[in-house]
Amino acid sequence: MELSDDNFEEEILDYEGPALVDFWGSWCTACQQMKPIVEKLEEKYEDGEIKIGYMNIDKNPQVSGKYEIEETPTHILFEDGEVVERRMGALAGKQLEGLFEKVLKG
Amino acid sequence: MGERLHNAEKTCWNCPAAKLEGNVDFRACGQSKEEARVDSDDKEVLIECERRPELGHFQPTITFEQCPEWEEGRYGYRLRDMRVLILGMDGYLGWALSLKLANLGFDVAGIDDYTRRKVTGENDSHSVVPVYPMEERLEAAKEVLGVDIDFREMDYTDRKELKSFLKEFKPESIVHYAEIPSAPYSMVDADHSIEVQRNNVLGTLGLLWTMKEVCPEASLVKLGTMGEYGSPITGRPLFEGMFPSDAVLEWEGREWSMGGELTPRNPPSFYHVSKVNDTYNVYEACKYWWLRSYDIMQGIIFGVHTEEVSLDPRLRTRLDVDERFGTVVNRFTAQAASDIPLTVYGKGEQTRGFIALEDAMQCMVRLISSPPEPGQYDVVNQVSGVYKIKELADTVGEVGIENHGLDVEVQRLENPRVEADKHPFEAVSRKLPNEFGFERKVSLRREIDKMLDLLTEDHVRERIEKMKHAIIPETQWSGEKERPDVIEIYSPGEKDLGIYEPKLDTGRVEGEEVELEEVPEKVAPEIEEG
Repeated sequence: MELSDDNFEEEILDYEGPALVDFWGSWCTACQQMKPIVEKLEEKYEDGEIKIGYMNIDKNPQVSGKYEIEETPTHILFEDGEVVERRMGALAGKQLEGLFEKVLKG
Repeated sequence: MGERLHNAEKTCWNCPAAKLEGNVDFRACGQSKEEARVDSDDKEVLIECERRPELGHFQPTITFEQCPEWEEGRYGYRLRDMRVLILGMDGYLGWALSLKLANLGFDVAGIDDYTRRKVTGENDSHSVVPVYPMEERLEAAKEVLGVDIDFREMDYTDRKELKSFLKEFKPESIVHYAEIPSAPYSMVDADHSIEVQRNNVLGTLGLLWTMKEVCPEASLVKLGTMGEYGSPITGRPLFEGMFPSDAVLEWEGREWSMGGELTPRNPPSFYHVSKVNDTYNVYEACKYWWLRSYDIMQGIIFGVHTEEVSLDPRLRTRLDVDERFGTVVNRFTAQAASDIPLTVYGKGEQTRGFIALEDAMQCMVRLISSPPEPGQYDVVNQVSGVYKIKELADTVGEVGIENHGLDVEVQRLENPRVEADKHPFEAVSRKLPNEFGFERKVSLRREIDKMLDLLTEDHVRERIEKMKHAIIPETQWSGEKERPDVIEIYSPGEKDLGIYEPKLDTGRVEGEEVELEEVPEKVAPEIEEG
């Protein structure tokens, strides 16, 4: 799902459960390449196991400023609104999915 | 309800009419100013619209489907009367695209300094299809299509003149066709090589600086070439510019995603090197200044037809078939039409990506209509088929013999180039069909057939006859000037095509491909004996 400064609190911080946010920028070629992979995971986990959202950092300066997103892509994994894990740079699908183990098994 | 147009959901963020400068505080590729981060709580992204000033400042969330300035067109939503500037308007592609865009209702302007007309004269060659002076071309466009195209004779590397014209025309998209597009031309000698790189690399760099200053919101639709990638002997797929995220570098038991990194380039001539240099310059300009660009890795182009150029002899686009500017299918077809054995270099198992003129023009309109976001640099592989050179010679030969009663032979020459002439080949071209709605319409055989219809007309044959000395390659990559030896002469279809099967990955499931127009059955004319 597309996230914004307006819906971030409701969709991610108030969400009870694990959520992954993909912070990206138009100019970021790695983000472009990661998009289909993250979308595939979104489909795979759409039954609610993990909520997955995208946030364009240029359109949403408030949230990306708050989380000090300086490099993209940055992926932050939340659980019950708390940051569990944070990764910078492109990740292969299986690497990204590897992060989920923390919240799914934990 | 019909299918949704491919760019319906794009927003102001993609629109060149959105005034971003002074409104949006771009985070320079993530390196936001520290104070911006601290004060980010009360920040809101608002823009103004050049076309709808009455909206004042607003959030850039209006979609193309919602905005009255964007209207439905044949190739997606398009900005009404979108101002498109074509650099290199007088060329093979520039002229064909100008007519297509103007005919679709775009506001088209173009520049050219007639380099191509001049340099083909260096080796006493010329376009085998007659091309009219620009004034007559423009008059014919007005008369036949009812369109006004604004043209200026101008060298695009003259930054002062270019800047002044950009200020006047205020382009919303710039198509860059003003490079010297020939590998052999860049290998003739030091002067030619340096001129190709000056015109191409420095010209493009100057263009980028001028766009930054005058029209940073315009999209740059820049012509690169599939040749930038080379043909890796490992058979690694030729991705669209960047590695996908699932491509992983493995070293000493550790793994990193290569996602988004530019794939290696392996340019096979100094011309191709110029295109690779452009790629880096455009990529960086997008990163530093929020310019936006599609870098098009175009396959080798062929054909003489588009809906517009075929309407009137004065609207025809040029067709070069000499060793320097003649691309392979065009050259083979002219050779077949004039009883010259088709010139295959080396083993002839070089495999390349190809696209017909009409299909390439469709891709261009779609790309222009659907601009990238600010800062976005994206690469598309503009290819609709992959073939071995020998296979092309066979196809031209078969169509020539069966449909036109020609007597076609193939000659294999010692390869004047330094290149692998036997290698695996897999090209990826997923974006144009899946993200921009491109559908291939032209089959190789059908276009060759149509080309032969035109090239066997007497007046064209005469023009081929006059320049045929310039067809056999004399430019050796070694720097020497000599005609290569003929290894063998054979009939089309006689030779084995080799072990590697070329592959084109369009991301589409087999069976979903569009049906192409077949070659109509014809009775070949009798071949005259003796």
